[in-house]
Amino acid sequence: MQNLLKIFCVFICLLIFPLAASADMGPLETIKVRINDAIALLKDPAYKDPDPELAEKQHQELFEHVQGIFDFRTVSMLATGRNWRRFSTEQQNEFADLFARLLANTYIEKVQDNFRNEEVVFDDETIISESRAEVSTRVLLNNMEVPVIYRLRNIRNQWRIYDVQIEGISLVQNYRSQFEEFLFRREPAELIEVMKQRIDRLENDRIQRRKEGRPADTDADDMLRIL
Amino acid sequence: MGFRFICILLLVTGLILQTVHAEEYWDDDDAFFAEIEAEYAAAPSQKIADPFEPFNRGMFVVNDKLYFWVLKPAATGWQKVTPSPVRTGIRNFFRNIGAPVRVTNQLLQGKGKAAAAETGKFFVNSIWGIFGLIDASQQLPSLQVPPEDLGQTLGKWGIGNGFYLVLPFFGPTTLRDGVGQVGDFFLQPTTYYTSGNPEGWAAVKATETINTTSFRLGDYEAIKDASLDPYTAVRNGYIQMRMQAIRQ
Repeated sequence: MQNLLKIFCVFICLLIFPLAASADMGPLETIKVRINDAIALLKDPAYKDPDPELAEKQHQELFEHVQGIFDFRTVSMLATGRNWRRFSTEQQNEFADLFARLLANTYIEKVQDNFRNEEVVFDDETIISESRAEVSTRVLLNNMEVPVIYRLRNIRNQWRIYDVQIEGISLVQNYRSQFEEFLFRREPAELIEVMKQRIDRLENDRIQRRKEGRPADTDADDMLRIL
Repeated sequence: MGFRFICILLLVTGLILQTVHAEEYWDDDDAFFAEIEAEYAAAPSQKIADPFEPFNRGMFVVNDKLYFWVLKPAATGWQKVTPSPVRTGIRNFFRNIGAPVRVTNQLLQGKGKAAAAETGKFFVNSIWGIFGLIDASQQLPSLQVPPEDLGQTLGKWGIGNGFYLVLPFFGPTTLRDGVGQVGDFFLQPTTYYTSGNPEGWAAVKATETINTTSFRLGDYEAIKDASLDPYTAVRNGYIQMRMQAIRQ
């Protein structure tokens, strides 16, 4: 009886203390696993068929995946800066969600259409503080190397991306300059409205394009090494 | 008895901890924000002087139309009729003959090693790479150094951007980088090859631009789609890109 109780107790404790039960992955490891999963999704032969519905399904799947890697709340918080406090809690959540969709609608399709076995090299990780880290990677494409640095935040023992620097250009900084200008004159509610309209347009465009079987824009296969 | 008590105690603390754990994310927001907000707010790319914004916005629209009406159709056609290796060859050729600009500025910045590597690269590509059509130096990682130009040199010497400027055809620049572009113009072999013949120079420049664009079709559209205000997005992107180039 006592033993049973003990076992039961340990079991309960494991359930209650998720920290004790979860093995932590470092920032580099986390990103590596996630990005490789995304690449596997892109290469999945199930999506080889140029069928618009399949492409859409892959798009949605990639989007869900991306949402697990990024922390759009933190992205939004830093992209709006001091203005973040002007958003109500509901508005904050809505904005974070819209921001995710804006980026997804622009870039996922580009990646889907242009992915040709590019390789990602994971160089190193720097732990800045308990809650912050940086991971440097390089994307190899067209005989070129593009340095990409991810900045991560530790949320509930999970590393998630809050900024990406491609060739030294920070995504969050770039949006910050735009939101700053917008919110200087106008209200968060208006910004949310503008974002909604933009996303609707992008989504309709995409579905239209897929129907007509037009790719967004692709370059002919440039992976030929001329040597 | 004691054991059961401990069990209950554990359970209760666990539950309390778990609720704390769930809210930690929100609590820690303030701390995290405080830690990093200053860094983002103080980024120099957020503070670029743009006294001629109305003019620049006008020029931005002009360039945007030029891209969609002239450059994009030309580059798309070029991409369709020209096989990828040929376009890559042309790109390599133009990069290779730009060596004097890079070497001069590497020397001006006191980067002797980089200047030597760049010179070596030029000879390797000109001799083994058939006048620079092939980037033969790719096999030699030690020769791969970041490119430099006069705008970066001036930046390295502590001269600030001045103000932002959008030129027709040439696109985004700043006072400092614009001065740099004029200086670099006199170091470009193409300038002398076509000397006294503006049409010839324009034709060479157009070829280079159309060919370069054929590799980047869709990039500008994506930037435009993803931004709320493309003008501000491009301005900020340009300033960030140049800062990174100066750092290297």
